[in-house]
Formats: sequence, structure tokens, C-alpha cells
Amino acid sequence: MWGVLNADSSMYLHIIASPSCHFKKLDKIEIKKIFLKKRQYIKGEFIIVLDNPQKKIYKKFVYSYLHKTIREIKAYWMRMLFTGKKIPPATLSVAKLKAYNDNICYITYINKGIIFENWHELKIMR
Amino acid sequence: MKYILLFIVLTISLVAKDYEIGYGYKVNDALHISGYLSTEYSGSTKSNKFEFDDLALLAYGNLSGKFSYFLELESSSLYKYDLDTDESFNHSIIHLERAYVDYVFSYRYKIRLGKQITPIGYWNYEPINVLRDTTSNPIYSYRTFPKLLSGIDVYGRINQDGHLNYHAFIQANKDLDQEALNIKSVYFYGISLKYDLDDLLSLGGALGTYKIRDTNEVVNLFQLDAIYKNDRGEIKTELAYNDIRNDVSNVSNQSFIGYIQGKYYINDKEALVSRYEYINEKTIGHIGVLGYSYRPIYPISIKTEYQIHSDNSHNKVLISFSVLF
Repeated sequence: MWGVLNADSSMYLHIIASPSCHFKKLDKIEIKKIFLKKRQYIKGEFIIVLDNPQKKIYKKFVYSYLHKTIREIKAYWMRMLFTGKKIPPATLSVAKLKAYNDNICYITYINKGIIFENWHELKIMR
Repeated sequence: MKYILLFIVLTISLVAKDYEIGYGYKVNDALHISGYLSTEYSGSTKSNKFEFDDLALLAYGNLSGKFSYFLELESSSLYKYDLDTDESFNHSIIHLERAYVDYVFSYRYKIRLGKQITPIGYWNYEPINVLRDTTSNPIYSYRTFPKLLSGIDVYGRINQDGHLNYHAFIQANKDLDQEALNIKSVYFYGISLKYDLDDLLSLGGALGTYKIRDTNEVVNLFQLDAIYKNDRGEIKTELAYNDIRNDVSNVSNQSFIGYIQGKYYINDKEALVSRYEYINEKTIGHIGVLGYSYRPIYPISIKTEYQIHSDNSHNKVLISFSVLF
């Protein structure tokens, strides 16, 4: 069954990947680069990142992994958007995940270890 | 037409539920609607003018993971008012500023097709007031190469984990929209490279050639750029050497134009900016700019600057208010 996006108040974040992602671990620098869309490929695989729609989880992720404040990340994406360089990531939803292409590797983050069907949690290298 | 654009913009910002200032209205992942506007006051010993400068509407989105698009309609110099003579001027033409699709084949090969920002340097990627640190643009930014390209750009990263990015671009046709172009070209071919040494420093350069429609001049462009940024500010510089030859008269000349700009963050909302420009065309000129920038929130920018020219009669004050919505 599809998991619940936020079922716990714990703010420990789990980075999870869809079944078509073949890698099992990432380091923090790679996570930062793919979520800022500075890189779209990991080990030859095309990645689509999805942001969590819940503000607390998003804020925690931005601070912990992207090392930015909300003001800084908004400034970054507005700059990327209006300069035509990059479009911000789509946000995560169960409906969207059902509609997405099974052959593409998606990565997102949740705050509790409730994993979507067949998704796996990535080991984070420091 | 401009009132229609204004009406659409205001309606979206007031009515839309899924609206956030700066990001615009999100219909879904495939369609976001956004925009910006800017106003400017310019004062010197020669003139005092107020200008409602730009009003633009944008649509963009991801059509699939690898396929996206971007559309921008803009009305420039909507309204000007001369405070000395009491004269006003209206301009109501809406033009196609950008319209392109992007497709990702791999990290090495991506394609952008349509009317787009010419992928050279840093300043050229900041086409609107609100993104910039100064109200004015350096002369380098509009005199050395066409700012917009109606053609194809193949770009990507040379190796997967590397720091070297490239663009190879071609325009071999008329511009998609002839309005508001700095240089109307018959063709424009070029390559640009950018090397990120780390998160703080990157270096780049470009080579290109284009033919100016109005003058029949063929221009060979050589460009270099560098940027260093950290939490306290940034320093960037861009230089362009143009070798210009008239196709009809065969007369040649050269120009060398560049700038260096520093920015210091006073806090997360305020910054001080200074810029030096060097212009070597038929004569040599220098411009110094001292500026202050205030952003209560990122999508709103209030700026002021004072320009000192080697020809003192051009010295002026600029004040601007601009917003992304």
C-alpha cells in the first residue's frame, strides 16, 4: 500500500528512492547537488527529486541537507526560475507518485520510516 | 494590450489560491503562471524621468521529467514621464521575450530550442531588474553580443562528476520577435565554457561570431568571465573583445568592454554594491557605480545608485522598485 507522507512528529529525515533507482547510498554533497538541480544524474541514472509539501519537513531538509534558510532557498529558486536556468522541483504527493513513470528514479524525503511500496531508504554517507 | 496583461497579472495574484509571491500561481506541475514588474526614476543635470519599465507574464512547467518549457511575454517602457517638461509617453507593444522548450538527453547533452537568453557570462542571465544588484546594466551587457538567441543551444556537462559545463549555440534565422532586441542579428554561432573550481569560484569564456542586420557588420566575439562568492558577498567580472568588420566596405575596427563588480551583504536584506566599467570603442570611457540594495523579501527589490562617468554630464542617480509576483 502507499504510505502516509507524514505520520509522526519526529523530525529525523529519511531519504528514500523509488524502485527504479539502482543505487543504495548517497553522500550529503550529492543530495545537495541533486536537490538544487546542479546535477540530474547519479551513477548514470537520471533522477527526479520531489520536495515534501509539509513546511516543517521541507524546512528541516533545507536546513540539514542544503545548508540554507528558507529565505535563501526561495531566493535561489526564484533566481534559477527567472533566469531560465532551472525549474524548482515538483512537490511530493501520493496521487503524483501513482501517475509517475515507473522507469524513472525518484528521490524524496519523509520524516518517518514509512516507505512507499517497494521504495528503499538510502544510506547517507557523511 | 498592456491593460489586459496588467488585468491578468492582478487577477492571478489576488484570486489564485495556490499563489506565492515570487513563484506565481501553480496550476499544476505542467503550468505555473508568474511575472514581474519594475519602475525606475532617473535624475541628472540633463533630465528627471520616471519610468514604468517592464511588465511581464511568464508560463513555465515540467511536461515530463525530461521535457520542460518556458514562455515570457513582456511589455517594455510602458509609461515614461519627464518631470522637467511634464511630457509623458506610452508604449503598449507586447513582445515575445522568451519562448523555448528544453529536453534532457543525458547529463552531457541537453537541448534548448526557441527564443532564449544567450548562454554567455553572468550578467546576461539576469535580464530583469529585480534579480540584479543595481538598477542599471553595464554597457558590456548590451553592446558586445545579442542578449537573446532565436535558435538552438546544446549544453551539458563534459563529464559526469566534473566541473566543466559547455554551451554550443546556433541562430541561423531571423529573431522570433524583432521587438526590444539590443542587436538584431542575421546569424549567431558560438560556444561558451564554464569551469566551477569549487562552490565559491568559477571561471568561464565564450567565442562567437554574429552578423548585425542593420549595419552588415560581422563581429567576432572573445569573452572571459569570473565570479567569486561567499556568505559575505561576491566579486564578478566580465570582459569582451569584439573584432568588427563591415561586409560591404571591408572597414574593420575593434572594441574592448568590461566591468568588475563587488557586492557586500550588510545583512540578509541589505547590500552595498560598487562597479567599475571600462569602455574602449572609438574613444575610451570609464563609469563608476555606487549602489545600495534592499530586499524586505527576496521577490521585492528596492535599489538606488549613483553613477560617475568620465564625461561628467552623464552622472546620474537611479532609484528603482521591482517585484516578482
